[in-house]
Amino acid sequence: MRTYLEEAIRHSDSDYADAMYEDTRQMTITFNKTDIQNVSNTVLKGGRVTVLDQGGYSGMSFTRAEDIRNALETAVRGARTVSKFDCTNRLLPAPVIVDEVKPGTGIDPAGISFDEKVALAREYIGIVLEVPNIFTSYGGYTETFTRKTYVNSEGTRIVQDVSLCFFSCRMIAREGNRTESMGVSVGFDSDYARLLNRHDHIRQRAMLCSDLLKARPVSPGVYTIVADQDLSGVFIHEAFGHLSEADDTINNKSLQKMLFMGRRMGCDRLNIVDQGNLSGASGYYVYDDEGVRASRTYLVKDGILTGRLHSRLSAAQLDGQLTGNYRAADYRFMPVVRMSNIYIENGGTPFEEMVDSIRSGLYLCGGKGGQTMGDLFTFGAQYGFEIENGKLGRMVKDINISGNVFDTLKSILKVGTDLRMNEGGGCGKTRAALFDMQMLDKSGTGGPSIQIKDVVIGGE
Amino acid sequence: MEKLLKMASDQADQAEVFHLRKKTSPVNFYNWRQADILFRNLDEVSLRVIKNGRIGVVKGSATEDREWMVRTALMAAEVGPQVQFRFPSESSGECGARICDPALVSMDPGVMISDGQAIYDQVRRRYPELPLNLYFDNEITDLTILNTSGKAEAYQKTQYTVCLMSMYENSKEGINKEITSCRYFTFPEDVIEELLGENRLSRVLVKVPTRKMPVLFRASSTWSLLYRILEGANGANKVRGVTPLKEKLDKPIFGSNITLIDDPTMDWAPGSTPFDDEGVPTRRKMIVDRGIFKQFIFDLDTGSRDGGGSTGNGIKRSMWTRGIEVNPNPRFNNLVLLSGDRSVAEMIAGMDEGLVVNDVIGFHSGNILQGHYSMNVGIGFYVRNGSVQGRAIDTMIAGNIYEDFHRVSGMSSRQDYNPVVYGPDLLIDSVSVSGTD
Repeated sequence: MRTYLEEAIRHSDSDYADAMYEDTRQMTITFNKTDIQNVSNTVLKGGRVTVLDQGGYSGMSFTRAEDIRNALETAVRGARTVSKFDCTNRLLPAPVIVDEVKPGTGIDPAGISFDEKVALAREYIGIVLEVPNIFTSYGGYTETFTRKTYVNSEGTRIVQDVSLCFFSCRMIAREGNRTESMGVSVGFDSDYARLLNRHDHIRQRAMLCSDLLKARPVSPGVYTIVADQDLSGVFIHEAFGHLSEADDTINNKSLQKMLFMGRRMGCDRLNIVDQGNLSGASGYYVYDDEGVRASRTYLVKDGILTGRLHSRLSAAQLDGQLTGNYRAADYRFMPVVRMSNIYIENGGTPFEEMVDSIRSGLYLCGGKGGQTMGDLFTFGAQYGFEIENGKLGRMVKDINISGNVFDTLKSILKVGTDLRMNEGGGCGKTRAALFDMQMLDKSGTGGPSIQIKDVVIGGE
Repeated sequence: MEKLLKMASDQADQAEVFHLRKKTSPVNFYNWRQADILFRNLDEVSLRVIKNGRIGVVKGSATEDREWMVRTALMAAEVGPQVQFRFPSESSGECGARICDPALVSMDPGVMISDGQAIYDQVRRRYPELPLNLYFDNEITDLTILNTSGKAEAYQKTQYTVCLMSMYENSKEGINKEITSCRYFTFPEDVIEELLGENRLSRVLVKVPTRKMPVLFRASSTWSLLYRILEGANGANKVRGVTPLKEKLDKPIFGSNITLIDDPTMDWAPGSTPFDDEGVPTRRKMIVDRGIFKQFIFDLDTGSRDGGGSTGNGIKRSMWTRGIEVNPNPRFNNLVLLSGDRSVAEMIAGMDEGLVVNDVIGFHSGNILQGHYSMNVGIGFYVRNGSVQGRAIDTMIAGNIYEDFHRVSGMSSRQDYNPVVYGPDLLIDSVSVSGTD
């Protein structure tokens, strides 16, 4: 495939061209309670070319490998058509890379039998269904193997084998007419071992879901909160991370002015990092979709805004650095600049000390969806506990958090010592319109527990 | 595709081949200066087989090895779920709706570049500084379904989308206007004017008090509410026993002024089709008739489990993937909320105090199945004494559609598309609003 792509690129009549071809095999076993509901196998093969010519930028996705020549011609015509409107595109120079990447060490899911995978999923679902009031669950096991071949006209040639396996399920607890639901996922890694011996974790989640039936709705108000690791990860991804993606900042002068490098974002203890090469994290990868090596980028260092995430295009426009964040959900989409694994680094305050220092507040756990609109954000917490005089109290639910990202970052008073990355992923981003939304599985978030003052909590 | 069906039918009791070809050419314009095009030429196929009463499925790019596909589907069927349905044989007849515009089939992408330029020219005369992105897409879909019950049907459909996205100062977000149709159109000047007007009104930021007040949900935001009925009326949720509507058939769930119809026979509607993704002919049907809940929607599997069969709502595509989803899901084809007789200006003028909501954030918050919602107002306006005071900031709205839709006191005569429904602007008399004033 690599030689085939190289040959096609060589004939492209453009200033710059690249081509990738992807071969993805995915299997999902879904269960309705412990019965197999479906085994679905998917093979997705296809490619994408992108072209820069006369300053115009264009691309084409295609399914049949033999269409690559045609795709390159179409993309070159597209680039020239667009260049009548926009001829400003250029790429920041990047190192030429020749490499082959294999999945990390550990247990290869391909070597585990189908029956073993079914048995493990059944065992986990069985644990969930044993918990009182859990009435049903659906979900199961998914594995994905992808070979991505990438070449560009500058000489970069990369073959990456990527694999991913996870167990996830959504459970529903019911009592009378009331229902509550919660999800659990484990794995999100190339190592099958990450799926094993997770019984306690899964049982604990199911018990939380059941407990939610008895939890009372949170009283709306303004609180000092402690966010757990999952929630602080969701917060930093949704509220701040998306603003760091530089493709949205190009040409938006007010956004550039607002997010100027050197701006104070929070206390000295606040460090925010995006790290694609974080081994074991669910958003791990080696090279992005334009052949740039994934890296570790400080977005906020000692409370000061210090970096943005870039593609070669955005880095050239905004005088930025290569960060290796130009990624597409699959060959059917044009890449966009997006986070890899974003997290807050450990600070210095142990969890107990954070709770201890609050007279009246909330301990909030788990993110539940999320959305941002510029500097405004809103998302739910899955559950929480009241804090009274430094002690955790009754469980609360129906928690909605909203606010302005800059105010909230500045209101982070304490940063914990218990950094943990999430297991799971899923992030949607649009290029320009909702119609062009692309969902990406491999996206990691994390952080330590953090204490934030003056958080607006809405009820439901 | 016939060969694939033949190979599968030799070894299985029943088989179905679903073939989707899609050509799209989205053009993105970024803030006056930048633009790009990504062409797509995608070709995907899915195969479902039923053997000994169990179903198995496989999907892939259409170039995939046929033998492998049949073997994999049969293997999946060995452990797959038991099903009680037969693939349909009934002919769909003529498509009741016009869904393919020849002008779009032959359109050069240069048209979108010049139409985009024209929109910028119109805006530039008034607001040369307004940050504005544009999105155009021309999508041509060829869909074919073949099965062992003798069904062999196909249709071609075009879908043209234009979206304008303005951005506020210091923000990535702002007022959006989007239109989608199966027919080519130039973006209406009055909608551009509306965008510019709303952008001007947004320059004043106002805090909103916390109390119940009338809320006018613009057509661009009603989907966040109606998403709850999409889940409530979903036959899969009935079969699972988790929808609160399971006891509500032929009973009032909304006020008598609310009528929802799933209408796949509407001309140029993006959701109109002659048959669903399982080959079941679609038909126009009442979902909510003057407030009375009339029916759930089913695909073949959930329909057979429930007893009444498919309603022609088995959809194998999702907005996010652009290709084929492995398993069908009951979804509306083209949900229509019948309009009223008021205008937006009139409804705003009639408010002593109220809120206009263009766009929400966090539509998925709250217990969706139970009808709850609790959302941040993304783009909204605060109204006093019948006039807009400015953009509402830090405002949340909360309620339950199964209560609030008894208090709809006005609907506009104009209807627009949003991701869930083709419908009017909707005035609800009293909604919980929490703000910071």
